[in-house]
Amino acid sequence: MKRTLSYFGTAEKKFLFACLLAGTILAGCAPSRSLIVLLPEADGKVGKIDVQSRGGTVRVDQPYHAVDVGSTEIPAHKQMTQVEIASRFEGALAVEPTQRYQLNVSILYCLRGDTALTPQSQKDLTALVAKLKKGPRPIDIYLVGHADRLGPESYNLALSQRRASAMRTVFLSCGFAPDIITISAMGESSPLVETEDDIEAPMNRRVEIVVKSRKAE
Amino acid sequence: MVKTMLTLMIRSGKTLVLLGAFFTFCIVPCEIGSASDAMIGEVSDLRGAVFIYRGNERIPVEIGTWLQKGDTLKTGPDGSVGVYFNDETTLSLGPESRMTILAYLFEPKRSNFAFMVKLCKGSAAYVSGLIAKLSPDSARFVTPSSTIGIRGTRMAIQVE
Repeated sequence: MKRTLSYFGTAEKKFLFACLLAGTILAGCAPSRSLIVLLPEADGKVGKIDVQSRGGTVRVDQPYHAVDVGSTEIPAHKQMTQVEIASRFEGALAVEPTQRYQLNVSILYCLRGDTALTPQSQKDLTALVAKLKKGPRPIDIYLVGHADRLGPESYNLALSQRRASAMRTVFLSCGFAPDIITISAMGESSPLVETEDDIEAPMNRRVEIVVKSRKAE
Repeated sequence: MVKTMLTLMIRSGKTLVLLGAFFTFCIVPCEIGSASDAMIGEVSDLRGAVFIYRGNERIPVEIGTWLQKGDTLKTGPDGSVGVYFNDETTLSLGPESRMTILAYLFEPKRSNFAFMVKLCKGSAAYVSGLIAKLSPDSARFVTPSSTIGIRGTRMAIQVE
């Protein structure tokens, strides 16, 4: 029943502050600016970043939005033009390695304390398997089990392991080769939704499926 | 000491937030990282002169040069470099840049994941690979004034 701190809990804030102080005083860090811009991936998908600085944490989830982190002030959040981005990052973008594979993430939710899926996720699994059978053959399939914080931490680690193993059995029975399937178990350590200990969180009872496949031509 | 800390702390993604802060603000000067000879990625794209600083060595970079955890990549005024990591993460640097690979661990069978680089100056472009997709809490990009948590994405970073 390890207490997982919420993303930036009090202890972390204190620690961060101590670091900042120590950093400023001891290391004499030269003030510098950082500009961070969220870009769409090759397939058009846009993820999320959390930019943490002494001014606080800013989440960016819109393409071409940038966070400008100075030495002291609260970071500003602004949209940049694609022309501006292309000229500022010309050097780095010109040598961006070509993505060799496609990585797709699916999330399936499990019932409480169980490896069985919710009715909706059962349908989603059927659809996913059909898609994988039809599309480019998967090169690797990663199955990552997770649990919420109801019950002891050790129990939840074992439960997440069972969830990933059960999913492996499903994939094997669907005819995917055992050597392309890898399972991981994260227990309650990697929630989608942060909660206090011993709280039910259906969103966190899940198996994440990451499929690596050849890029569609 | 740093290495032991890393080994102890690496399993928890949450801890990486702290570790990120620690590296950002306190401990690690840009040139130093803990040594490990495992090959974690290779140079796939290159323009101009680029060097790897590994311990006391300065290694000229070529296409196909392998990288290790702890390596610092430095590009000259005409240099730029693209790196393809084992977990399909990609990272490229523009001219006049310096970046250190502080942590890299991709052991899905043991549920061990870590990715942490620090851009000390210059510009970079990053695309998430399996580490950030399988364990988003384990991927961090650090600059002198910020720590970036990555939830499966592509981004560009500039430090000036």
